[in-house]
Amino acid sequence: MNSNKTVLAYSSLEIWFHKHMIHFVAFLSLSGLPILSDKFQFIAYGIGYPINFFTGDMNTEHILASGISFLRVIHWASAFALTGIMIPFVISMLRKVLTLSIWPDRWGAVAIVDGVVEMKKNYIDLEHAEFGKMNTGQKASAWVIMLCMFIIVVSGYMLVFRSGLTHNFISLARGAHAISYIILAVTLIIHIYFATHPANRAAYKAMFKTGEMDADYVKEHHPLWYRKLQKV
Amino acid sequence: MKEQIKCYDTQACIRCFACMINCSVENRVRLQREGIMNVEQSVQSKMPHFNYLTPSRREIGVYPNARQVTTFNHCNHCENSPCQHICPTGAISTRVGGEVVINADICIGCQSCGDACPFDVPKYSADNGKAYKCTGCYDRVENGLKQSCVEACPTTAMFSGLSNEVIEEAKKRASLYSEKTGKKYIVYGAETLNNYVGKLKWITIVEESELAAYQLDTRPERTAIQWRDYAKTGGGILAVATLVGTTAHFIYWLDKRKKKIAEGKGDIHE
Ligand code: SF4
Ligand code: SF4
Ligand code: SF4
Repeated sequence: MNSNKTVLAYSSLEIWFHKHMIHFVAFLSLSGLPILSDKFQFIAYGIGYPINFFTGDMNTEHILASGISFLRVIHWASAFALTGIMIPFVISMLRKVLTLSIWPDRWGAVAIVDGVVEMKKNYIDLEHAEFGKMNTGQKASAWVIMLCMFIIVVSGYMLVFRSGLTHNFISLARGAHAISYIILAVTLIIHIYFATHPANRAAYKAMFKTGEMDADYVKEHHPLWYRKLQKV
Repeated sequence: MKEQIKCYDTQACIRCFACMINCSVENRVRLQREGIMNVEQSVQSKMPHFNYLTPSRREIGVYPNARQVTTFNHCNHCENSPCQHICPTGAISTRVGGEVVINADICIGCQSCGDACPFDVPKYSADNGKAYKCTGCYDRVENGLKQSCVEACPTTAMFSGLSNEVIEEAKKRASLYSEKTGKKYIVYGAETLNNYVGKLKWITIVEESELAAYQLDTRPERTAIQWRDYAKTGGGILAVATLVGTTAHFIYWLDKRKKKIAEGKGDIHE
């Protein structure tokens, strides 16, 4: 907490990483979805049409392949770039791993039930809840996102650098890559909803602009975190 | 044109491998025919990805009962063709005669087909970054010719034709062998193997107890790819449910907030 009564919620590295993570996840999703499912082939067609038009390839059978080829390059480039920016972020997080707010304040089934009750209080009853910096749902989703990202990165690199590995083994990576992405995508829909919810204006502003939150706001909406900050 | 299938009879095979040679020749002649390579190039280049039919001869049993068996690795032209379903570019299609074919022009070499094929069939060529496999000689078949491998076989161990006729002949041979030897012979692939591949369009007459010796998988699967398919369906439903749920929550939140303000309790989120 500083003299202007603000609390530092996110460091500049966290803001920087989060911002670029959004770009890359958007690129990776747009380029990966048409490879994952034919329901999203329209994206590849949208890319393939102009490519074939300008290259003079008027064979309609080739449009999808042109689009997918291009998107695969985007997918790989975004993946390499994302892992590149992940390195400083992960190192910095690991250095303060024990103080991160992803850990439960209390362990056990009762703590989880209490956490869910507090979430109900806030999101359903619209009353002040006993939240830390992150509530139980946010902590759970943070773990799901980290785990899925880890599996996606490892399996993705296996798919790219696959020489010497058997098809059977790589099929595991292909399955894991897709399944983790699907879980991640559903979690991200929930994450984006709550992050852009009007009730979350303060945290949104902190994450995208200043990194800071008003101390009085924190005291009212994140009392557990506020008390923790008071102790420091 | 009706569905065509091929059959390999393990008992009639004399292991001359004329089928393999004729397949290789046909693939090279095809390159010449299509103007992709001249005669010299097509004969002198190794092009291992064109080895669509790769027999391997092994001995099973212990002397004096040891004998040779030939296992073939080739495309089975599966009814459900998982390779086709996973291909992101639509490069794999099923022809009118039932042959599952890769169109090399639009293959981008992602190797998804190889990962999805439980028989390890599509071969990736690092030279040109494309996947290759048996075409079922669809171009010959659609022009009234037999497949090259079938045409080369001197003993009719490899035969082909209309699906019902080939299955009928294969079953006839299987029951004859069963009768003569007292061992049970079956037609592998004529019935649905599982939901992943369905029936095969390259069937094999084999003694039931020797399925493993001939490396004929009775449960051809790629579990992770099947899970991937389930996740795609489940994920789609879950994503829609999540969107509906979050929209419903937002409407609920707006309404509740309005009521709270009307009750004079203020907005806790301000
Ligand atoms: S055997 Fe493999 S390559 Fe051939 S159709 Fe079946 S899945 Fe596809
Ligand atoms: S390697 Fe070619 S044929 Fe096989 S799935 Fe990829 S694009 Fe399709
Ligand atoms: S059907 Fe044609 S391509 Fe397939 S193995 Fe026989 S000869 Fe080769």
